[in-house]
Amino acid sequence: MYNKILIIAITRMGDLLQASPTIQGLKNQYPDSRITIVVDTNFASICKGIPGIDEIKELDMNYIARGVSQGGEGLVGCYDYISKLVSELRNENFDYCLNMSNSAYTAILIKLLDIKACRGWLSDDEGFRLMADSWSMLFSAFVYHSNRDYNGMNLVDIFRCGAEVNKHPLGLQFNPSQEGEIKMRSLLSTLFKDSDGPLIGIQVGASQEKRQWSAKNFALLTKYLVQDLNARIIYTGSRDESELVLAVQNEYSTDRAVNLAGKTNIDELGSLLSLTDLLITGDTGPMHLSVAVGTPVVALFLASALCYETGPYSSGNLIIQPQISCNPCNPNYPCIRPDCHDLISPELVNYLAKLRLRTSLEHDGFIQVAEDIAPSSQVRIFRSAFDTDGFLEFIQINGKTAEKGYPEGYLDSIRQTYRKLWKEELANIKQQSFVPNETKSQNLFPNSENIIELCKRAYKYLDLLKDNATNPIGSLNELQEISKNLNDIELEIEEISLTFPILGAVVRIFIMSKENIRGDNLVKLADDTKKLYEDLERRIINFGRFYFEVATSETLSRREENDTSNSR
Amino acid sequence: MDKNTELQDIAALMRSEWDDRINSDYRYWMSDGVDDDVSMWNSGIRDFDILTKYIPSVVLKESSTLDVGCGVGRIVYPASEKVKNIVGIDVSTEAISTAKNFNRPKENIKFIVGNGLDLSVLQDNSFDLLISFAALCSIPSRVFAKYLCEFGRVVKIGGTLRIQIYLGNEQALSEEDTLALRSYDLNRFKSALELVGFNFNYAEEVNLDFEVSDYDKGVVAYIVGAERINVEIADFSKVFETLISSPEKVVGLNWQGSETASYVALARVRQLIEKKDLNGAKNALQLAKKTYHGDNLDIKIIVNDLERELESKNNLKQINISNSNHNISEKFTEIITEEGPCLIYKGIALSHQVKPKEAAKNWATRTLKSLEFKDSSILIVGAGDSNFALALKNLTEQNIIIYEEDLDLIKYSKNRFENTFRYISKLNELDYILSDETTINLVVLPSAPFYMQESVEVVRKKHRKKYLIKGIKPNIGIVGPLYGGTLPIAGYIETAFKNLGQRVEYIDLSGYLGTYNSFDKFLKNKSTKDVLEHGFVNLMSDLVYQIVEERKLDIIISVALAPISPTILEKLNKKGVITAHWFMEDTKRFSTWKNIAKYYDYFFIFQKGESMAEVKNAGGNRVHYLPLAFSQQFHKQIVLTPQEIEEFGSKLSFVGAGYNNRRHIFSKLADLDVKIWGSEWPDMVPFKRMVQRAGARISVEDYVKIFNSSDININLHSSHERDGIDPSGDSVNPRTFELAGCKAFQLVDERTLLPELFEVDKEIITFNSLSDLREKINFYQNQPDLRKEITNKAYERALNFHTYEKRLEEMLEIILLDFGDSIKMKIEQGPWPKTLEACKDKPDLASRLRIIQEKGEEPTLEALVGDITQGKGKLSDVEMKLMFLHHMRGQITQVNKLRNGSGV
Repeated sequence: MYNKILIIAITRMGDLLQASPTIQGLKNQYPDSRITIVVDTNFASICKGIPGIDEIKELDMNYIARGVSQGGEGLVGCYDYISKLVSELRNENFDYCLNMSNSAYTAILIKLLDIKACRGWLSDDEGFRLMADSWSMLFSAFVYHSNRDYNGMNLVDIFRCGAEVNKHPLGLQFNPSQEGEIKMRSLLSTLFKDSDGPLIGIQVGASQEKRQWSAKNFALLTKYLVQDLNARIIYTGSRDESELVLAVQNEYSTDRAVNLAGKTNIDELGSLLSLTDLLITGDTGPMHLSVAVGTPVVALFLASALCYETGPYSSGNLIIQPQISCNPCNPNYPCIRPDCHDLISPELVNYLAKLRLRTSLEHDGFIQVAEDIAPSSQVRIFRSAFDTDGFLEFIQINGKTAEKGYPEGYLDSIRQTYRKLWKEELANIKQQSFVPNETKSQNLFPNSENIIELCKRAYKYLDLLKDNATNPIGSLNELQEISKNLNDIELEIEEISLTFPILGAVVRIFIMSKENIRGDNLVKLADDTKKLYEDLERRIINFGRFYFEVATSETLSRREENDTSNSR
Repeated sequence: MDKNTELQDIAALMRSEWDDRINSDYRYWMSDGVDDDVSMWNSGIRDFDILTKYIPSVVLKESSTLDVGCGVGRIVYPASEKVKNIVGIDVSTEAISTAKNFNRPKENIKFIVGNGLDLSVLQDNSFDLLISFAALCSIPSRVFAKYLCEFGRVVKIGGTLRIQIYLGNEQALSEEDTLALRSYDLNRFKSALELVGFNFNYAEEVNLDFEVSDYDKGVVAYIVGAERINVEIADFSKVFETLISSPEKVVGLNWQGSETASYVALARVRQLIEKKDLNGAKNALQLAKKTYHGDNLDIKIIVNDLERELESKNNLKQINISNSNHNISEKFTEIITEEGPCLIYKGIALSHQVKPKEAAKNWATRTLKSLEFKDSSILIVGAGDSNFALALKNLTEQNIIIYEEDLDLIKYSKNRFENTFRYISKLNELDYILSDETTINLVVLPSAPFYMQESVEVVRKKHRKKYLIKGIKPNIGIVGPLYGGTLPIAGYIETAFKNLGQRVEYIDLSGYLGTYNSFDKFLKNKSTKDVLEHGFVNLMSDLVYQIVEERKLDIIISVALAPISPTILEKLNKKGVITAHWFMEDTKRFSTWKNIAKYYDYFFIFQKGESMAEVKNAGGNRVHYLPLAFSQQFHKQIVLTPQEIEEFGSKLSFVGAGYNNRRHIFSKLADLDVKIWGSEWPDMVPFKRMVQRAGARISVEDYVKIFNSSDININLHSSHERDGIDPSGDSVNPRTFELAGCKAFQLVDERTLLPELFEVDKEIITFNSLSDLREKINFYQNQPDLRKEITNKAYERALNFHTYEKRLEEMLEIILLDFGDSIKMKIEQGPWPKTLEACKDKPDLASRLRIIQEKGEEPTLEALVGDITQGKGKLSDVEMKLMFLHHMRGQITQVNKLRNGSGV
């Protein structure tokens, strides 16, 4: 039971909105608690619309950036600023803290606050980042390592589970103000002569240029939407993005499309999106805002964007993920030739927009997109939905794709397998499998035997280690020998995971957990380490079990599909 | 009277008073009070050089120059030899006519009488350089503001201003005073300069052999350097308002004359009386009386005294105190006043002749107020007749020490006050006291400069030195060579500076040696190679320059063969970076210094006499003798393993390259058990057997082992030109000191400079011929105890006098004595004082900052984080917060980078 909760979410608009199910979930779980959030001043206004937040503390990052680059007195000013914030927060005596920013500085901030119960990214005494819970490790294992292809779990769910929230709303949360809504309604009535045709938002800008579809494409899309649906189009975005919109309007200009980029604040944008029927967007802040106010999106996940990670967190959205060997690319590097942009045509987006507008949500389960409209070798089209455990998933609706050289649908099976594994292992939600819990080679995922064998070897050395530590005449040489052997085992396991990357995430979490084990008591160290090896072994076995479960049901459903089509 | 008329009146007054002064005694009033024209021209050269210190001579040669307030052309004439042409302008018609009458070449000189209000006779944008020395400071500030506007008009865009003025506290003066020193607030003056189109470059204190500043009053002489960058010139009233906070008062008809001028005139009377030029003294007294007719009692007393003295020198009651029991010298005359005795010594009154007690009390009160260290001892230079010391004693509990060289004065004083004071009379005693006391105040007796001027300067310098090294921490950069014998020395210098607690950065370029050598490897054509090598040196130079820029270094010290080109040295010079070079090779044998000496501010060599003169002739600015030394970290006594003793040990050893003279000597020692270590020895008999490791170069670590394990180390200085021992060899090689540092026994060839470094025969044994060497080998090889005794003494001497720490302390003292104030000012103007001020209520942050300040870093987050990440263990609260800022900034930068287009 927590009374005073601190959430640190020094992130951008989209990430803050993605934190909303967790925040609301915490409030649901601890209705009497007071929740304080620390945010970047630039995005503080978003928090006013996120339910569950009682107090907002702002951190002026512009001030810090300026002061630090000035050096000297400016630097002292920043130091002062931080000291004041720290002492203000310390005085609040929070009993629970959740760090939703995975940055090193927020980890240090939490260290400075000295709060007993903390979740998320923390820092050790020497300022190194520490992942206190398995979910944070999972995030790192999937985002920071070459394991992105195998992750099927949305970051909102990862964060939420990290905070131990299970009573969460199925969707992002944002409540625009009434004034905002009135203002936007009246604005719309002045902008469009009639209220014929659907109101469609188009978000042209994106956080990075390489994630931004071309002006020409947006112009064509606008043209189609106006022609086909007599749609009323509003271009959304920030003031900086207004120029991008002008570029679109230069290509195609119509009085059915108006530029509102830079003309709304966040609350007003929320209202505006709540009034629209659909938003067409990249993976952007407005995408999350749209979802949060209940308006579905058709989203283009270009370049580094990957829908499994940051896809729109609500059911009923349509997502286009280009199929190209480099997708998703590394967000930290520029792209010389964003070929993935060419795989998505304005015609396809227009088609999906119409599909979304014409299909009611109850019938989502029947939506399919034909191969000739969206070839599965070029693009994957997903719809978003929640599974029975309340976890968001993305279901491909244009057939099956052979991704990254794997057989058709194979990587999806792996993602499914991981979803099951983590739900059972980390969220304690029992998963069904017809495969018995046994170490039989036919039940194991390929290359698992080696890891299991190494785990067994490790148990022996760990027992020896314990014996040696408790033996008053234990020899130092022997101890060194044992620890060398244990090191070798760990290295071997890591090597296997690099050669067979599908098992990488399980091993990575094992390694990260090992790094967290500290102390001088050899017996305790041995016990803790043994537990990690046991976790590893069990997870490797379970991975095999769940995989065969997923693969078999996949085969069965295919057979069913084939049967149905044959009978036709 | 409207303002304009008033100013014209002032201009008229300036003209008439200066005409009087020039008529009376132009040499005295024009410069430092000299008696002949030659001395006056010399002072002109000196001041011109001070003004144009940072302007390269090539630039000067092309400069059309204007000297404002040129007087009789004291600076114009000598300057005319260094500039393209020069115009001198002065308000005094007498001065200009005297100037024109000197029989000196004046092809490129023009003298003009100015109107004392502006420079309207001169055209716009007509001068490259405007100078003025000891002139603008006496001009009433309203006129000065007018002149400033005119400076902006007549100096070309890009032209240079170099003027001597006084900065510090504004003085309450009358506009009618045409001599009193005007002093301006630095910031106000800077702003005024900007208003008239100049960019302020620097202000550097003027230090001459005599007092030019009055620190009590806060009137300090500076050279101000500025560059005209702007066409716009603000109007006069704006400039005037900016220049001075409250205008000088206008006395009008009640003006009684300048007290300052009167004092200056009376001082001349005193000088001339002492020089027995009684007529001159009478004339000077006339001027003094004409200059001032007010009520100042002091002036009246002095005038009366001087008149009396002039009338009859027998008025004074003489007491021959040599008859007393205390055997005091006949050189004193004692005057008994109502307040007690006052001594006349060498014609100088040591106290006030009427009111010695009251005058001393006033002095003591003033002195106490101005003391730098409130609770520390006071060192008075000059005992005088002890009236002043006693007055001080009555007012403070602080310990008083008196430095007095005249033992008779000490006796006289002791006779009066017994052991009230502690006296010292020798410079080494002074050194002891200065090194002993943590802080000590220096006070100079008013009369001391008159009877012991040189000593006063020496004491002042020593006192200044004591605080210079500790007080000022310049950012020092050391540039080493790519390779060669001086390379390790650059490292020793770095270590020593660190040991001295200085902020030092070693720019080690030795990593580029491979690149440099590759030209040889790939190319055969010599001229192509030369071009590339030249380009390479330029690249290295540019690198050094960029490092200096980035790290904001104040001083660059390079050692022999460091790759810095003259172009870069000139650029550094313009930047105000002080450059020093330590040439650790024989100047007679290596000539590389010839092309570089003139570009350095300081040139240190380890030779004296002829070598010193040659370097100076080659344009060396400040050439100093600085012998080599040993590094305590590297050259030390060590314990060797039996294997090492086997490998490195011998009865006789020699470490060094096989120069001609060495081959000559060692070929004749073939019958002895000598191990020779080093390269360039001929691969032939008898060396084949003697030379170790097939003539490989020996590392510092290894030669220290050799020194430590040889009974006798032969140290023979190298010579290409001579056979055997160079009879005229002067310099002492590093090996001499290094052997001493290792407590290793050496026989070294005689060098003329050696006896002043080690006591020959006691601390070091020398030889002057092959037979002498053989004889000494024979003798010392069987005297292990004696060898030990000698090496212990050599070590003691080396430790106390010949470490790199001592050398660099000396080098830094020399540099800081000249530039200490400007470096201090640079540091004060930099970000540090404000930063530390800003965190005075954050002691933890302040102490973190001080750590990086000590290291010579700027107060930036990068520097702080760099320091934190070098440490280990738990982070403190401050460190955590700084790391927070660091990571946050990193993230902001990353996000901005991704957003600003580099995303595609």
